[in-house]
Amino acid sequence: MHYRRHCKTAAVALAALCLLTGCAKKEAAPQATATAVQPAATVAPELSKYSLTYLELFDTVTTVTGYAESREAFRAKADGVRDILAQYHKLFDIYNDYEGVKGVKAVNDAAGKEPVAVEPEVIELIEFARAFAEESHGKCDISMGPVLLLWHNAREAGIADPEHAALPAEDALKEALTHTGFDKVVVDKEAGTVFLTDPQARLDVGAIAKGWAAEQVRRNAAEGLLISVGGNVVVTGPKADGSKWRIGVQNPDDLSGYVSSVGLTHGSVVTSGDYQRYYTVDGVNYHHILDPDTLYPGTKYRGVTVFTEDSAVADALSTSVFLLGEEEGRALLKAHDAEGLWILPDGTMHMTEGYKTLSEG
Amino acid sequence: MERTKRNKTGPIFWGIVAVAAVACLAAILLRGGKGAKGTVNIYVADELYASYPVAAPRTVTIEGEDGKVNVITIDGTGVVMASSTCSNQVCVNTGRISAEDSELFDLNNWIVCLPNRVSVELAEE
Repeated sequence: MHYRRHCKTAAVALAALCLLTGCAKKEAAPQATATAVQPAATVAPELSKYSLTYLELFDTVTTVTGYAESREAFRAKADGVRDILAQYHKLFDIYNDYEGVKGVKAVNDAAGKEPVAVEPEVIELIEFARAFAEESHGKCDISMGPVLLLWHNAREAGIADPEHAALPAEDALKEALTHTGFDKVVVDKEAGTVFLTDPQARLDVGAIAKGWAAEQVRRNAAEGLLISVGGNVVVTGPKADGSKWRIGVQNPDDLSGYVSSVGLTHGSVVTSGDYQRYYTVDGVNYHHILDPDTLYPGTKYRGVTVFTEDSAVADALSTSVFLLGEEEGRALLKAHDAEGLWILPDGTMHMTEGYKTLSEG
Repeated sequence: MERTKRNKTGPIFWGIVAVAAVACLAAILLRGGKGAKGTVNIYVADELYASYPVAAPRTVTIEGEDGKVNVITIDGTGVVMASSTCSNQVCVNTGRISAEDSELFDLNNWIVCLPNRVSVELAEE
């Protein structure tokens, strides 16, 4: 009798201990590292995942993630990406001069004076932007420099001295608007020059520069990398094990959370949102994506995410779609074979069919 | 016959149970002591400043130029920007990152304070 009772207790205790040990085993299990599949003759190299961040490009955060045999091997690939981006950073920076670089700032500095000989790619960018200004019904417009400058200055001042943060004056904005427009941007492709006819005209390529630069990376960088240039994400191939990179879209109300994600092995995805670059005046946030029609930040959505192959197109589209009504936005996306997600102010999400598929895959 | 069984198998049986129990407990305790895998890499102005195992809790304070301060807390399985002097607080609002989260999305193993030039990575190794 005693024997049987002890037996039951012992069995239960042993079972419990085994379960506990089993649980402990699971937690300690090492994470899988990707291993390339090789024919039997060769030894497969162990690939590990590495990541690096660069903070000196386009006044934003650039992250490069990928697989390599060593940290040094990865750094070589990542620095290669950084070098491509650094070229474009100098070419498109409208606030600083760089030795031997004739870029957008040089054009702005000579406004009303003379044509400036620039790198051919500056002209390509301007022509790309000119076409997009029309397609986006004027919403994506790099000739809005004078208006954007007023907001830039107000935002910097408001961040440095929050107590005295103020909006740009209404009449200053309206006056600045008179110096915008592509009619003032004269491009001579043969001479390789750009001339701003109005001395107060100014180009601001912020809406498309990162996308353009990221596109050059997408076309020229090593394979199997995931690169984000301030939210302009490009993928140069799948992960080492052939699986998709998972890119999350932040929750505008809680930056530690995500409201959506897409799985990619190629192409570009860009998010334009109101929740990272802004300043506050009397308790109201004013972000950096200006609507040329109102001269104030766009308020239709908290964020817009666009997927397409080309990153320059994705960037221009995300700015345009952020400022356009949904119907016009959908038409514009369709014309470029692109997919999109809108996050409305109340948190509701609208998406194109193709975006839905990407987010489920 | 019965009497013999009762006298010998009881202690032997309990002896086995005791050994098994001790072995299991030892396995749990030893494993629990190892902690989570992963390294926290801290960069300042894109240069590696320090690396710490995520399994050892600690607080790291980075003092930059012009009174810039970032406080990073490593808690044994994850890391968070506990505080920062920056005005936009994006780094603090990013919240805590841990190995489980990093498995979900591929870009969220970083906490970056752009104004103060501090980047924190939770690396797999």
